[in-house]
Amino acid sequence: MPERPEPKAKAGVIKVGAKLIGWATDAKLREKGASGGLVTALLAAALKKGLVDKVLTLKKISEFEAVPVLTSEVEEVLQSGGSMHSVPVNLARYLPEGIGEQRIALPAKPCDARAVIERAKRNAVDLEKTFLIGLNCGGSIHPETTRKMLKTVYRLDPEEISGEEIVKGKLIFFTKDGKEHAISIDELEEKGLGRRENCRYCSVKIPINADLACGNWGVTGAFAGQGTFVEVRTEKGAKLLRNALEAGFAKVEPAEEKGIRVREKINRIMLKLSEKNRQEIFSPIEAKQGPERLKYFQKALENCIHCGACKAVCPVCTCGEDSKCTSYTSREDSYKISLFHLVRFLHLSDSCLGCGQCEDVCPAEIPLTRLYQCFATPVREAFDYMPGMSAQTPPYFALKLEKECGCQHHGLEKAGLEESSCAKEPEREGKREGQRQGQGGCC
Amino acid sequence: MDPSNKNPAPGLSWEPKIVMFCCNWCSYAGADGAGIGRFQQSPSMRIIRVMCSSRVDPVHVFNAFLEGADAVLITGCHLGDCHYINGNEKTLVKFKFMQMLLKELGLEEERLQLNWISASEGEKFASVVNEATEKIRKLGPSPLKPEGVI
Amino acid sequence: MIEEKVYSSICPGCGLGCGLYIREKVEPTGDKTKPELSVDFRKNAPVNAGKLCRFGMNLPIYYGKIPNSKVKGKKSSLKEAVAAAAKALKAASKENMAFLSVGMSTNEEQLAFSALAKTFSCPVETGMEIYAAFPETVHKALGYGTGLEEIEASKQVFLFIDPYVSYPLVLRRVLKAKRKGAKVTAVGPKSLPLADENLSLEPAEYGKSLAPTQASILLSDLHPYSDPTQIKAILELAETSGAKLLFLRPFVNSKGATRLAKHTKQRSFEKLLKALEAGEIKTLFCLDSDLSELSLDPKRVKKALSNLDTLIVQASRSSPLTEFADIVIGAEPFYQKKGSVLNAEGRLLKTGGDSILGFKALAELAKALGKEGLDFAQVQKKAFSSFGLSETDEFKPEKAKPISCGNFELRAGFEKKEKPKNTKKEEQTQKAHFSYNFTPFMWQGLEDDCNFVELNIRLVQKLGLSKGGSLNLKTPDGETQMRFKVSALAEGVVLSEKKIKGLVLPRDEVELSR
Ligand SMILES: Cc1cc2nc3c(=O)[nH]c(=O)nc-3n(C[C@H](O)[C@H](O)[C@H](O)COP(=O)(O)OP(=O)(O)OC[C@H]3O[C@@H](n4cnc5c(N)ncnc54)[C@H](O)[C@@H]3O)c2cc1C
Ligand code: SF4
Ligand code: SF4
Ligand code: SF4
Ligand code: SF4
Repeated sequence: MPERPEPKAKAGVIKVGAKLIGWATDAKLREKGASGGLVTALLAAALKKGLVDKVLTLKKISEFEAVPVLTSEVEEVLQSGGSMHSVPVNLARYLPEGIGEQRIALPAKPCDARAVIERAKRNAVDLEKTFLIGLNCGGSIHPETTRKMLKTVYRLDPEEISGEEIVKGKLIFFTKDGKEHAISIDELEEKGLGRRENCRYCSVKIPINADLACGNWGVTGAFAGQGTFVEVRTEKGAKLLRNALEAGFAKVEPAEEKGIRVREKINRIMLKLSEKNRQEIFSPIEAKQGPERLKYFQKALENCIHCGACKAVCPVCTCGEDSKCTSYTSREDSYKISLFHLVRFLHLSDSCLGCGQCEDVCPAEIPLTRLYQCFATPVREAFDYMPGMSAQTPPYFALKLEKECGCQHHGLEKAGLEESSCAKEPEREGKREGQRQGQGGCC
Repeated sequence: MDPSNKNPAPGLSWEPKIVMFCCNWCSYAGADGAGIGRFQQSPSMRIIRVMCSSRVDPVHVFNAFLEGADAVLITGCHLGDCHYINGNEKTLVKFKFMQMLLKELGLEEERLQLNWISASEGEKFASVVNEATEKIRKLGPSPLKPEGVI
Repeated sequence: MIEEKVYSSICPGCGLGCGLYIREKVEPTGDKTKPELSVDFRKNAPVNAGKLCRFGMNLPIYYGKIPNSKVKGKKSSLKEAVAAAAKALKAASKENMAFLSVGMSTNEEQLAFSALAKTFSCPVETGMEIYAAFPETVHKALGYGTGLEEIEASKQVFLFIDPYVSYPLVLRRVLKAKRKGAKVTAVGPKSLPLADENLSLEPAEYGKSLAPTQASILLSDLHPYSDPTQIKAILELAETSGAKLLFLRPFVNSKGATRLAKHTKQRSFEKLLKALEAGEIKTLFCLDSDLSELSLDPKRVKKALSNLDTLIVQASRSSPLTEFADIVIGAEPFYQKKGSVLNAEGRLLKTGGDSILGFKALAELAKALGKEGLDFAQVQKKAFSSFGLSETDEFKPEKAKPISCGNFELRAGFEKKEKPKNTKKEEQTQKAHFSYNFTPFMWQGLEDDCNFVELNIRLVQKLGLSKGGSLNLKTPDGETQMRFKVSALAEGVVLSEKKIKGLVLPRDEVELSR
């Protein structure tokens, strides 16, 4: 690794909206890190300087396995660098439940950050005390698929792998003998391998909902491959960066114009591809109408063994054990479609992130994320609401008592259910009278 | 399964079965009004009285369909007339979501309806019931009806 | 601050041993013996890719039952319990002793238990009398393992089990085979949604009705209530066609336990019970095997056990047996154990913990009875080498082997029970064949959401049952009321996932009424 120039930038460049290139000052961290080791440096510095009480990060077990751990050990954080594309986990569920005293920082792919925000809306997380270090995300792979790819396409023994990387649309594996093996993700996906299906149509690639948005897109010039592009999204994010700089853990430099353009361009291309994949995956389902459509859902769910894993793993569900979807469902019922699924389809129609966790853990191989998205897409379009991107209340709960003009319809308007509702006002009193009379007559 | 028709006599044909949720303060009284006024009404209804239309949870609606209802009608007070200030507005939100869900699921739109019927609108009550029954008769049995239920 | 420990463990619910993490939270101020547990998905696990069935998802409840060491009904320390057990064993007469371990402990514990039993020249019973029904030449074939991956590679899958209920993590493999074009034939009373063909056949009909090839796989199971006639028919089918065969197992270490027991003159639970009832067994030592949970008639077990002089139980979880045992050696829960199990596919899996409390208790007992020096590492090595393996490797299941058993006669079959007498008027009752659909919950004594038996719609209509109502089941041993579920079953069949008193054998006859 070449020696780095002393950064020209001072802490003053760190403000909301700034786009920077950052890196860990520790060479080992840079080596270990996915791009510049900045994320790990930020997490470690936050813990070290007491900006947070704990860090939620991944503890690596093997090339294809890592477990989320909540730690207060700086050492453990320093161990955690590097991007693990074969660990399709969602970190939101590992944050301690409820509004606690602890301040916690975590790395967050767009789906992690979205899940944390949705959980905050359900009072399961205190966003004020949660520091989201966003990671750009092109997608993740189920480790079972990774092993299969290695065996059938790369023709490598999974035990021989010493590392992996995604560069320019290619999934690269390094073997212990020091060789590199690259195959394009498109090619893998044509074979039904590659990224998880939901990642192929994921519509957030840069986590602009997090406190910082980090990634390797847009790292240009001398820093290519050795710096982390970081966009400061919130004041909390700026704090994280300043803290790491003060602690001497990280350094930053303003990003080059060219880099900024490159990042935007790749993002656009990726989103376009996602849209194309979405079309491909969903248009055959869209084409089914009426009874044929119902059959599709019934058929898709017929193998469900009622394990409950899809609900247990779903990061936006905060019900816990006493939930509507399970309380009224009994295995004794031989219904055409299970009440459990109908309730979940409804409850997730305004909040499913498409994070793929449910599908990952379904023992019956049901394409669950695809099914949930079938119900979530029309809601998202009708209400122009994207779950997890802001603090906006989900439309299902948008209705609040509002009495600005003596009419209570503002909530409905907000929820997109009514256009104008004050016209009915004059009739009202009369109706109330009638109602009371009717009532008297009946008792 | 309804015990009254678990063993249909051969040749006994399907009649629409409609579950109707009526609000205590308006449509339930409306149903009374319809009876007192002797409006012609179809016998296909199963009326369930609720204290407010917003008491109707999606679980109730789904359950009605899964148990064999051919349609579900939710009725409540006109907007602005809710006995509990804005319960019916909540009903409207829930209804909108259920409607979108059932449409996505591939169930005919007519099988779930929301109507505002006040206590004095006995005639309206009867016509809502009759129209719904006719529509459902044309559509046929609900595809969600379990095996062995008519 | 709350400390969390993550165990990379396996599910003890059935012979698959699905991989998972157990997250254990201990509040320093709280009760240290009652940690807060949760299951987490280990997607890198080759057996199950992180997926779990309803049982695996319920593990926190299962592990919530922590056993206390006890001597003569009084809470004691582990050490006291071991000492009391040693004393009781020394005083016992070796003629009427029995050692039972069905396969819910590690290979290492199993071997230590064998060593202990050996000091009395006693075998370790596994409840698998079915082995006694087969000539020794066939035992090997019964124990062959086959990786689940081989299901996916098959052109045709024959299911003699219901994978929706019995070994649920097999389901996805069959579905994957199907997506690749395999044909699925289900043999049994229930129509399975994933099957292309559902056949309700007697074992005698397998030969002429089923035509597997070398590219087929037969999936069945081998458990304490398996019907030897059916198992024989399946072995013959595999042998004549050259199809692959996998016998699934009900306990996480069923395979390890039966292989290590080496003893082939096993008694069934029924025979053990009879011996207990006749007073032929006076001292019984159960290792992680609760007879009253395993038996289909818990009340009878309790009565039979009262004939014992001494009941010693080493358990990793409290259960009815730990309630009425004389001596309870309370070991660590399964996820905390260090050790190995051999799953149904023949994968040697690590149990994932770091405690050898249970092993040590057994080693100490063996020592007290004259068998010195049971060292964990050495015992482990011995277990591995008896499987022909040198280390645990979850990525290497056994390769399918061709079955060749030759012609053989069964030594024993199931005794048939008397038929129930009709008491109610003919038109109100219906006779039906009764079968169990065994689930992990049934074997492990954990409550499941299944307070019902399954019937087909025609039987429901004939009996005039209405939804929400209940059904009367009558057997020679008495009557039971159950709720019911309408399922796609063959004519005249009742299926249950819950133990029903007096109903034991496959295809028992019951009398049904409203
Ligand atoms: C699955 C995945 C896909 C990505 N795709 C892109 C992309 O297409 N374009 C792009 O610009 N950047 C992408 N990134 C981000 C990029 O790889 C780097 O993480 C980022 O540039 C920060 O680099 P760093 O050296 O500062 O991070 P490091 O210092 O290496 O820290 C990485 C942090 O990410 C955490 N982490 C690792 N794997 C995961 C995971 N699977 N889920 C959640 N957290 C994880 C680690 O625990 C660690 O805290 C992706 C990251 C991941 C995890
Ligand atoms: S769902 Fe989106 S953010 Fe999450 S892992 Fe997949 S591509 Fe990344
Ligand atoms: S339903 Fe599935 S895809 Fe949607 S948020 Fe929940 S786990 Fe993620
Ligand atoms: S994870 Fe799959 S099998 Fe389990 S309840 Fe959900 S849909 Fe059913
Ligand atoms: S299939 Fe067996 S091992 Fe797997 S989770 Fe279920 S009970 Fe446990």
